[in-house]
Amino acid sequence: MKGTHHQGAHHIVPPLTYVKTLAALLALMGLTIYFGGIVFGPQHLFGLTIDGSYLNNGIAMLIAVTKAFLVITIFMGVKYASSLVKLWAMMGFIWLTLIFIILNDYGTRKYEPVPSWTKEDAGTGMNRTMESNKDMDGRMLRSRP
Amino acid sequence: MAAVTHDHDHHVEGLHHQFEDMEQQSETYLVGMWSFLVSEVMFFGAMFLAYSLYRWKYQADFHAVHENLSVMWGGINTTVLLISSFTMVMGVHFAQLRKGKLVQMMLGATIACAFGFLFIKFTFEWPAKAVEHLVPGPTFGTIKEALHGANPRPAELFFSLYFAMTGFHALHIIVGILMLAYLANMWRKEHPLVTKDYVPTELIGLYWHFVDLVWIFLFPLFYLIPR
Amino acid sequence: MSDLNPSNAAAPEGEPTHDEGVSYLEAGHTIKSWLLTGDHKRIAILYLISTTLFFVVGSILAGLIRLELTSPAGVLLENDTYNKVFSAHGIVMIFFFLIPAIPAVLGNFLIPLMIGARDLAFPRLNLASWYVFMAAGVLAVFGLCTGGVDTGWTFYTPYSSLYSNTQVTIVIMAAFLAGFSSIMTAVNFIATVHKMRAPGMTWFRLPLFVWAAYATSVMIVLGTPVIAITLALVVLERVFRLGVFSPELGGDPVLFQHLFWFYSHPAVYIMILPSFGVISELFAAFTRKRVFGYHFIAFSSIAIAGLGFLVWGHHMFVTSQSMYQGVVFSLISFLVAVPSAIKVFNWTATMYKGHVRMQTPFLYALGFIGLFTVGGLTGLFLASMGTDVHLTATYFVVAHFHYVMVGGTIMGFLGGIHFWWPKMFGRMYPEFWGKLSAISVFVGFNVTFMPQFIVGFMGMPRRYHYYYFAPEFQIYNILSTAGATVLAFGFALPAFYLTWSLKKGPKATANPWGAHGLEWQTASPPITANFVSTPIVTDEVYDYSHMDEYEQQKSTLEMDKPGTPGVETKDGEVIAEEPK
Repeated sequence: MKGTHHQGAHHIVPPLTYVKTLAALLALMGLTIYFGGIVFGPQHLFGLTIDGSYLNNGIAMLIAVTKAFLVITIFMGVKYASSLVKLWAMMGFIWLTLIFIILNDYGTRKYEPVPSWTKEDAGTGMNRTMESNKDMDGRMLRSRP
Repeated sequence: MAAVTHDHDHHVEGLHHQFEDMEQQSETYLVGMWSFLVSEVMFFGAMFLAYSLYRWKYQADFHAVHENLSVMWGGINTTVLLISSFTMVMGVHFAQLRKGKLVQMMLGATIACAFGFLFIKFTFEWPAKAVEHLVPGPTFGTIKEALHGANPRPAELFFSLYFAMTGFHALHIIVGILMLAYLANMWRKEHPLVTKDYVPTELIGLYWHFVDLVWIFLFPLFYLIPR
Repeated sequence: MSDLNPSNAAAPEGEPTHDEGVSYLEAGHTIKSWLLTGDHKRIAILYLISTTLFFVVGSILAGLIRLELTSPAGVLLENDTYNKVFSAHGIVMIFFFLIPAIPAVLGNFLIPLMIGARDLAFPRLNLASWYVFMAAGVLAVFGLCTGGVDTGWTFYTPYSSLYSNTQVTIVIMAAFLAGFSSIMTAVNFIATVHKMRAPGMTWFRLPLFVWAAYATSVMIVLGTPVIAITLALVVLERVFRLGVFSPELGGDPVLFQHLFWFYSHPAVYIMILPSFGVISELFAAFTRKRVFGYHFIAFSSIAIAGLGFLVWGHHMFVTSQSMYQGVVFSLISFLVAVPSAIKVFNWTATMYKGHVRMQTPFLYALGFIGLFTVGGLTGLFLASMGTDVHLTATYFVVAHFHYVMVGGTIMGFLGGIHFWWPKMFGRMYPEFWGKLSAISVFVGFNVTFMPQFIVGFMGMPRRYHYYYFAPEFQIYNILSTAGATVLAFGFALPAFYLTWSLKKGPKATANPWGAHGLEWQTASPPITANFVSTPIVTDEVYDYSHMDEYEQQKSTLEMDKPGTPGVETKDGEVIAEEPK
């Protein structure tokens, strides 16, 4: 009969694994600070020119996801847990992608409202105009002058 | 509890009346905690979404004004939290081995790290923003140099998000400290609920690692914004 | 699991004898024994009392709204007061009645009984959730009494965050706490359904109510935190000027609407899904058949839970939302109709060749089908982008969501309360009055809200307390108010006769409906530990047999003619013995 003594059913991880994980996490943190300071400049990939900051962001998020993966699998013990716990551990992160559908709205708008304060105080304002904000002749579409 | 008819004839220490055995109790606890953490993921997730939207819209302003945040203090705090996660997981490890003294030591170390984190945040980081008039409000951005050339409105938005997100994170740390202290006290009193079953310790650990997880994303998003 | 007794398995147990323990109602009589209980059944009763109180508060506010609208120039409320009254009606009804009603009352009471568990997984968390709920309720009522809110239940920014000079902060904190309470309940249900099922209770032997409650809990866990943080950010914006949603502070109000509806559209399914579960149980019990397409109904609950999260944009067709995204949201909104229609068709198909018994709970269930279908179909009008531009913020929308939420949730709730009343309190309700209430609710409801479809289509805007610009709307509004009076009568009746039945109603047997399910195998009312020994499930779900039908006929006669043992034939003749 299972569960006569519950500790037998649970995996005891050797402390060295935890030490290694901590070392990896700290190293990744150093890496993310290092890459955060580099200015890449425009990058040419597959015939497309992309802003260097995308590369910084990509690397930073990749490292963050790796760190999160280490924490979840080893520190939080999901690697050694039952498949039910694994399912629930994944659920939140899968569902979180749904909420990011909201960004899709802002990316595909024909008319982007212009904040009132950009007129009185130019600053840098919205420095990224989206292609979809332009009409057929390439003029910017504004909600109202 | 009102009078409860137990139909176990044997009473296992640390086992609640509604469960059949320890195996079921442990797994139920874990499923419960993880479904709560799913909720927490969505809680912070909505703020991360708001952050992504505005970062996308106002990348240059966010870059300019983020120079007010010190990567050094952010890095130190990240290290502190990662170490606290490690001491926490060691605490759970010793709980599995039922080494009460070591568990208490590790929980104490975790609490110390948590206080260290809050100390750095509330003495070196947040007050500096008030001095430079970077706290959202009527006086925001009245010191032009502190804006580093950013438009004051997106800059204010950046600091709104900064205070909201790190604030809710700090709130979770404070709740975590209270739970860790409660847990450590139960270990000190050798309460059977924790000494006979390591899962309650593991649950607090899960919560603590989640707090660490949030910071893992907050750190690059706020402290390391590319040009 | 050595303490299981297989010989005791599916056999119905009679009245509890002394050594089997006392009923949960008799387990303690002090106030303390109720307020500090860990028993899921007692917590369900606490929730029943508190949600009923909130329902009364919300209904009185609805009455004020209907009274005000009988004249084109308004009757007794000022502009500001009217705004506060409809906001309070929405907030109290949604956050404090519709969302907790079925999960927290029927779910709490039934889930452990239905799956054969001694209690929910976390009894103390369950009690804590009630206290948090009460704290939220008291805070909300305090806020509504000391100034009220005039933002509507939607708290749209920037009005709610920068302009409204009312108790928005307090009421939002109350909504936040209420959300926290429902997360606690949901976590409890999820852990319970996953891990506490009795031996043999496989997923496909679970009653459909448990499936529905499980799907609801998953939605609560995934959705509620989003509105919690959104409302918290509104409070931060109000109090500390942390502008995330106000254009004056650099934020985007449409982002608030996105995040708000990311929860609040699923919230409609959080309200309606448990009701679907109740209706499934009622159809099985009163047609004496296995629900047609059990698997389809079970999976359509999950499908609704999933798809329900992908349609929130249909509340925002008239904002600056991208047209392309609007088209996708419109399409998915139409798709949600598919699982809902699967359920409705399966329920109606269940009646075919069934032994249909028109008793009160079933009348409510039939009423549900009628009202929910109208509500669902008019939803399709609103999901079409073109039609929606005309109908947005008119009484058409008001009528639509009342058909879904009141016609769906309250019909299910009342049907469920009548069905499980003998299980909860061990007494039968009076059948005649029950039927009268079911019919008055159905008739009153239609008279109230059908005219609102018409007047909304003609262009009457919601949230206005006068319509002197179009006096021809008056006839519809008077009709609506007259219907609301009948509806109020229908809602008030159960309060009286159910209370009466607590002391005077005929005693119920363990299984007065001859229904199938673990909750009917224990005593009425159940003992504190639910079952004398953990049941082992060997038969399939809704496995109705002729034997149980006798039970139902006997208790029907007992309700119609108290003190007459036996069953009644079609000719009205009473036979004392069970026909073999």
